[in-house]
Amino acid sequence: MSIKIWVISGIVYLFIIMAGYTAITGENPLQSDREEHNEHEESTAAKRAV
Amino acid sequence: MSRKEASLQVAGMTCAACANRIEKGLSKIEGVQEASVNFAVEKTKVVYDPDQTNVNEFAERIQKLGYEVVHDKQTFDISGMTCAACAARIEKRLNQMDGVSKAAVNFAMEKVTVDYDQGQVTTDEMEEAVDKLGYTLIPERSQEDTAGSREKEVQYQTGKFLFAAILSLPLLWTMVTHFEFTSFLYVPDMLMNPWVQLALALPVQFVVGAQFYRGAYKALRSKSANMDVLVALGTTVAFLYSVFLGYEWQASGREGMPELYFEAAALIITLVILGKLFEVRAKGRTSQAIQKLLGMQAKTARIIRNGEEKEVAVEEVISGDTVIVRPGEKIPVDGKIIKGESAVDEALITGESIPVDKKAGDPAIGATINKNGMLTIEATKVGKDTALSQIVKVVEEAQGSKADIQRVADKVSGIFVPVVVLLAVGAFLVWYFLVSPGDVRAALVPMITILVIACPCALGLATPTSIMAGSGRAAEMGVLFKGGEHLENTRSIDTVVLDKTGTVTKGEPELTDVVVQKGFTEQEVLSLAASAEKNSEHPLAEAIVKGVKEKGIEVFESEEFEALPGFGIRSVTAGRSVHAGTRKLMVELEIDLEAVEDTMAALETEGKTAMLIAVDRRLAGIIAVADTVKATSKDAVDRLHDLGLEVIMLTGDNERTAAAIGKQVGIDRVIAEVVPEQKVDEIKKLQQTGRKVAMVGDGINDAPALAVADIGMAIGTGTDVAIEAADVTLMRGDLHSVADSIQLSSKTMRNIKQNLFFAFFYNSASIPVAAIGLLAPWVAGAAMTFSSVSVVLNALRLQRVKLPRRGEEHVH
Repeated sequence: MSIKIWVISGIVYLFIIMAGYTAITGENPLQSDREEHNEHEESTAAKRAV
Repeated sequence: MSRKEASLQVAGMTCAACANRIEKGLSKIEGVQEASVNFAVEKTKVVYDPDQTNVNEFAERIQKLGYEVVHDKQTFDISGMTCAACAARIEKRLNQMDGVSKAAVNFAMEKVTVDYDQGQVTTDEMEEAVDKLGYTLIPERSQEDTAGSREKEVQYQTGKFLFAAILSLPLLWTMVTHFEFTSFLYVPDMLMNPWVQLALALPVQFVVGAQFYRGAYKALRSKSANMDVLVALGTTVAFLYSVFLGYEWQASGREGMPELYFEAAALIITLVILGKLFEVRAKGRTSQAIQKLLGMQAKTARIIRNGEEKEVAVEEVISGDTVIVRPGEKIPVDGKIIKGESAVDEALITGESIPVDKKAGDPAIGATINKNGMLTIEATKVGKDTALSQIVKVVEEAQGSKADIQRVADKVSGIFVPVVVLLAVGAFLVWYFLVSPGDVRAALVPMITILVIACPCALGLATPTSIMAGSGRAAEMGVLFKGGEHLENTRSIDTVVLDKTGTVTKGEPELTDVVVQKGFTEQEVLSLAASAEKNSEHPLAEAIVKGVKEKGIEVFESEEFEALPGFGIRSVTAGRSVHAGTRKLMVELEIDLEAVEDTMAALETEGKTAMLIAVDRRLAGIIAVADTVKATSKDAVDRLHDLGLEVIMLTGDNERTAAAIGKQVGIDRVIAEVVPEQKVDEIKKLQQTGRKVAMVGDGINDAPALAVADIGMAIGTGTDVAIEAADVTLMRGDLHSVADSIQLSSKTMRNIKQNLFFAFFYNSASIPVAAIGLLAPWVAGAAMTFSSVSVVLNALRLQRVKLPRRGEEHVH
């Protein structure tokens, strides 16, 4: 496979994931909810403390 | 008891007694049932029990008895190797085969050179054995084919790397924002979803990473381990554990956010692929010297056949063809100039940048450049016989050979992977049971990191890349090392023994001094002497005629000529009687020599041959001829002294002449009046005092001395030099090459040691750091890539090495 085909395949696959995510969750794939992220940070920190 | 038969080709037998000796010697080996030697065809047949002995033992015994076992030799390309452990495994397997006496794998060139006996083992059997290990052995391809398939591989790996990078970067994005100082960065929610991360990591793990699974499977199937095992194991553990955490998160109603390792697995694979990509590219550059040499070859030749001039491909030129070379063109093949004069740039072959003047009768070397005149050449050597092809062959063999230091590295990398796996499992257990009891996550990170960081790639590349770059650079400078071991050993030389004629001196006598008596002019004496000597075939006479012509003085035809053996010559030139010769001749002519005795003695002390000239039975002058010292010899000897070496000159000449030449160039010790056979004894005497001796000679009549010395160096220019005769061939023909070879050897060895230190240090320092959990797995992947690439880049520095002459600043 040529370099071009690999690159196109990667980008297409990325878009398929984004489209799939939107189709399943109904959410905008680029949307960011900082609280959810912080929650992850906290849970990780809590796990580490244990 | 099992029974097997082996047949070995033996060289060096001189009579039936030798055959007998070999038979007896072989019969004494335990397990040998029958040994018979056919002296006529030089073949030895051995019937033996393979459970007790093997062919290699027979070869060793024959060599101990003082004979040589002649092996077939073939180089193969290997595909499928991923690290030094693969190379070690292939080498081990081939060496185990009956009939194979030596197999050496060069991981960097992806080649194996096998010494084997065709009667014992076939190439098909070797291919099959290697195939079973999971690699492919194919007959050596041409440089162009190798470069072509390397380019294809680069394209393929680049594509895979970019695909992996596109999918890994979003995963890296989620991880970068974990730091406090980066927590403000925007991260889409989608990327925090474990299933999205799984979807991103999946193709990287199993499509891009498939090569690691394939490699690991092949290695494990043959009960060994290599880099692929480590990468496959480390990333699979990270990947599967993340899948499990994702499942747990889903099962627990999507509470909280699990700490996943999809990004670690994907990034490790991406970075390892990137490292391999750099490695393939850099490995291609280490063999640049050969590509450069091959690229210099003329593609076509203009030949005259059946009276017609036509242009043909260089491969079509046959020995004896008349070749026309126009100004600015490359000389297509080796030959002899039959017409024309020109300056020829021979830098490619001899490393000498100043063009050499050539005329009819002089040799012409293929691939050198005809600068300004039209030359007609008779082709004498074509195809694989040309000087360039010979050089390429020697360089290729040197690049494919192994230095002793590499064997240590090979042994270490062979056992490295299983040891690392044990260490990784040990680290997991210590963390799980002692440091963080019950915490799989905490125990998993050090385990994955150790697996990834401890790949012995750098270790496998350390020596071969330096040997390739070092021998390639040496070839560019006109120094050809026959093998890696010579490149390694040349630096330990402490004594350089130089042959005089043709090595320290030019090997051709030259007119050096003219002393005229009252009543004569220099021009008159020279003109008469040269005209008289013109008819003589003595080398000294030729030197006088040549020297006089070069001074632009006219040389006439003599009217009479008579050679007086042991005295000189007598001639009548331009109506004058001319005598030239020894003191005895002058005494015969009753000429008083008292006035010139001191001058004669002084000239002879300087190592010159003085010839008395009498004109009309009156002493007219003295003409001295000598084999002059090469212009560069003095500087080169000084350079050898600067390197701390003792320089000895060995010559068959008389003591006085030898001492004079020795003094002129600053030789430490002169051993004179030595016949060629005694040269060997002199070298042995030096070796017995514990010295490491390099013998430098022309490679033809010094061959025995070159063979006995620790390093034999054949010196010559272009095609004159006998490449086969020595361990090191100095194409440039001046003694600076001796110092160059020693300095290049030192620099290459220093480079190898830097590489080995770096690789060993890197692995031994990073494992404990990884074990205590201070390294993230993806950092380990990046560090591993960096280590291999840095080793190759360090080796490539050798391609730019410049060796300082005296008074020049050291440039590195």
